[in-house]
Amino acid sequence: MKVTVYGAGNQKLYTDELNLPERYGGEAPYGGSRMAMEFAMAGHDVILAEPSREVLDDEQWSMVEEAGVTVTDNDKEAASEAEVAVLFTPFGKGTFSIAREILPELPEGSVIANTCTVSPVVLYYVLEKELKLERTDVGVSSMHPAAVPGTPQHGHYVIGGRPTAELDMATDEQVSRCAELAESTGKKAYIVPADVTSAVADMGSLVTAVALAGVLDYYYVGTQIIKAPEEMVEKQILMTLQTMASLVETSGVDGMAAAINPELLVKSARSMHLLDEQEELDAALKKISDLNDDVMKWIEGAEVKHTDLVAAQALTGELKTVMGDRAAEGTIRRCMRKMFE
Amino acid sequence: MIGRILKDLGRINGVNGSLVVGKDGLIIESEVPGDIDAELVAAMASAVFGTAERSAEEIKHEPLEQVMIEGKRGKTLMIDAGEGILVVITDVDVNLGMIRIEMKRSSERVADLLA
Repeated sequence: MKVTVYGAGNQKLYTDELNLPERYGGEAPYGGSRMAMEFAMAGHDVILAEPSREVLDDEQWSMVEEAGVTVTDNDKEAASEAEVAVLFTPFGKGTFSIAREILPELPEGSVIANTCTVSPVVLYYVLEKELKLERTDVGVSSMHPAAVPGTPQHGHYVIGGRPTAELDMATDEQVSRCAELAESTGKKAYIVPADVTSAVADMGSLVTAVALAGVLDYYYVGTQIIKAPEEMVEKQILMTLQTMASLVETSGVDGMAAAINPELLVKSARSMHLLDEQEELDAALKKISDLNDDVMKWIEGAEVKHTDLVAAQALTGELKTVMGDRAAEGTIRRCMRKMFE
Repeated sequence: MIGRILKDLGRINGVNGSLVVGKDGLIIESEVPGDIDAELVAAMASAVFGTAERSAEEIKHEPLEQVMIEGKRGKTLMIDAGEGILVVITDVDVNLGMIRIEMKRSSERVADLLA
């Protein structure tokens, strides 16, 4: 398979600032350059496009080339034969501009796979006009390493499959191609809905994990101990997650915490300790009770801004009823794009 | 090709600009004055046309043929163009009959091109 990886990864960040060799193990080069090396060692024709030579030292560049990777600083040329174009590129706008630049150059049927710097759905929305009008053959998926490539934790890839929303982002064959590429390096490929990859693969997966533990704890306590109707329990879970998400969106984490009031939350949530073993709740209560003075000052100084608390799916359903599916879907896409652009 | 159709519409007296937008608000082609935010107008056109289409259905007047926003300083006309919507922006005093005929003709060509 012909593969191009965009972005080698900033080794100074990995080794000097994050101290990965000591903290996680593995060896530099980490990131996109390591992905390229692993693809090449699995027998693929690999190009690594990186305009900044200084992100790796000479020895690291030698390792990349000795693994069989062709290195270039020309993004467009590197795209011309890429069956899979992997974007290990800067967060947000940087990735969008590289994707826009390479899109016309990609061969027929190519697939662009993001990694950790942008959601594949947002990338799709940003490129939507070109993908719908000019390059209907090109797909958007992801090859999210969900860990830093080069560390022992990187044993899997998260591949963006058919999204929960009905978007034709990539064909089944294009998704399978990404999975096949991942598996050829000896790593497990998890195919998940493309619009879910960020929640389970990005750094924010920490939030997903902690929230899921809380959701499952309350679902069990609510339905099995309190014997509340399942629908009621699910509505309360929805309200809680929706309230927190909306407040973060309008007022930031400090504003959200100010509105919630940690002291009050501990008192309320303690009354939901109905089983001998509720480790998630114990850990959460301890953590929130022990917030230090600096954190409390930060929270107390925060502004809680105007927030429209509304269940997102109910809102989009209403939009579809009022303005029709297509106009509503366009509105939803623009909202998603604005959140990241 | 759609660009050509819009340029031809622009030659009609009193027409200040025109766009073809997808039903989802994506701009397909645009010929509007620089002081108009074409992306925003495209999004609004899709919302207005979609809402008008739903209203026509609900009132049992479907299928919707066209929408006109009439302001004191100008008019905006929208007509179904298959997968898209043809939007034409005009002065206040225009020959609406002629513009409608031209829009009808243009929208059929646009619909064919988008099919």
